Parts: sequence; C-alpha cells; structure tokens
Amino acid sequence: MNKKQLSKTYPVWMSIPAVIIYTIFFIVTIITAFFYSFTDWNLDRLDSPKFVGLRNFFNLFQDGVFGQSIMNTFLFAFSTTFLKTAVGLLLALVVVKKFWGNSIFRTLFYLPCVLSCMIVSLLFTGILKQDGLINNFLGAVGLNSFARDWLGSYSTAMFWIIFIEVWMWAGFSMFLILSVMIVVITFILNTFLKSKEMEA
Amino acid sequence: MMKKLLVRNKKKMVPFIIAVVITPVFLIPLIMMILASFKNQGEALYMNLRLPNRFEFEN
Repeated sequence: MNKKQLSKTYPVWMSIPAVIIYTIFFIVTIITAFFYSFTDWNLDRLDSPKFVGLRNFFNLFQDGVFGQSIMNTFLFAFSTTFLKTAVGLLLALVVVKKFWGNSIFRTLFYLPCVLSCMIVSLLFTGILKQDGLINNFLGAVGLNSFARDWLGSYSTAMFWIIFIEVWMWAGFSMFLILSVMIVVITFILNTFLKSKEMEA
Repeated sequence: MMKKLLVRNKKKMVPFIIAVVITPVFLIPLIMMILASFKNQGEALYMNLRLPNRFEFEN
C-alpha cells in the first residue's frame, strides 16, 4: 500500500473502535429489544421467551399512561431544546462583550455541565423539597402560602425538571454559540482590515 | 469627552449587570454542593446554605 492510499484509508481504520462500540451497545441492543417486544420475555422468563405477536403493542396503546408519557416526553424535549438554545444565546451575548470578570462568568455559567446528573438531582431534590431552600426563602419573605412540595405535583414538577435541564446545559450551548460568535467576529474584523489595507 | 466616556462605560456596564443578576441562579446550587461536601451525612441531608458544624475534610 503506497502512502497516498494509506492516508485515504487512515480515517476508516481510526473509526473502527467507535463503530464496534456503537454496534455492540446501540445497534445490537435496539435489534434485541425489537425482537423481545414480540415475546412475553420478562424477569421470570429470561431463558424461555414465547412469541406473542403484537399483543404487547395492543396492551401498550390501550394504556392511558402511555399517551401521557409520550406527551410529557415531547413537552420536555421541545421546551428544553428551545430554552437551552435561547438561554445559551443570552449568556453568550452577555459574556462575548469585554468587561471586568467576563472569564469568571464564562466559567461559572459552564460549571453545571461538568457535574454528574446524580449530583444535580440530589442537589435540586434538596432545594425543592418541603423544607428545602426555596420554601425556606418563601417563608423568610412572608410568602408561606406559596410553599409546597415542588416535585410533588405534575405542573410544578414538570416546570422544575425543565428548569434543571436548562440550568445544567445552557452553559454548553453558550460555549458553542460563543465560539461561533468569536470566529465570525474575527473573520469580519480580518476582512475589514484586509479591505482597508487594499484601499490604502 | 466626559459624556462619551460615560456612554462607553454605561455600554460596558449593561452586560456586567445582566451577568451579575443571572449569577445567583448558577452560583447558589454550586455553593450548596460545595458546602454539603464538607458536612457529615446527617447534616448533608438538609441541603442548605448553612456552614457545616465541623468541616469533614476526610470526605
């Protein structure tokens, strides 16, 4: 194999470990799950699954909770995607300007991204519980009547779960948008300077 | 000249003020997490902004 051919096939060889891992942990598991969805496989019948046709799917669509969970998933997915981008854009517009401590603010807004989901969930469970930070604050400012178990009812729980997701990942969107902004600004400045040079 | 400087400073202050307003939303949970890391198991259950009774550095 000559050098040219080697440089052409090099990226293919480099992608093989990722392809193997992706195949084992994603593609194979998806195909296996699809196969088992036509059987009565459960924890009691791990070794001897019996083919039941579309029965599992009929049961699924007759279950009222399934529709509700699909709706919740869509609500969560769309709202968090939109809000993460919007808040990220706002943060990027703020920290792209040069002012005292803007690198400190950049670090601070990005910090929640590096925390594990387990820590964030423990943290916000503590903040939102009956005797948590939010309710203590409401009590301190005389708004006791608004205090409640924030994760205990559907409407407030959904809002706070969306908030936590946005809190955690808005910094990541901020960095993506910020890097694009910096590249665009640099490009425009360079083009402007070049045109000025040409004019001169 | 003075007016120009004031306007320029005002322009620089706006993003700073917005950043300072947003900061508590990001900072308070992080402070709580850091404080909880120095508390014993019983104290850490009450996620709050109180300092630990004794700093458990062995955590």
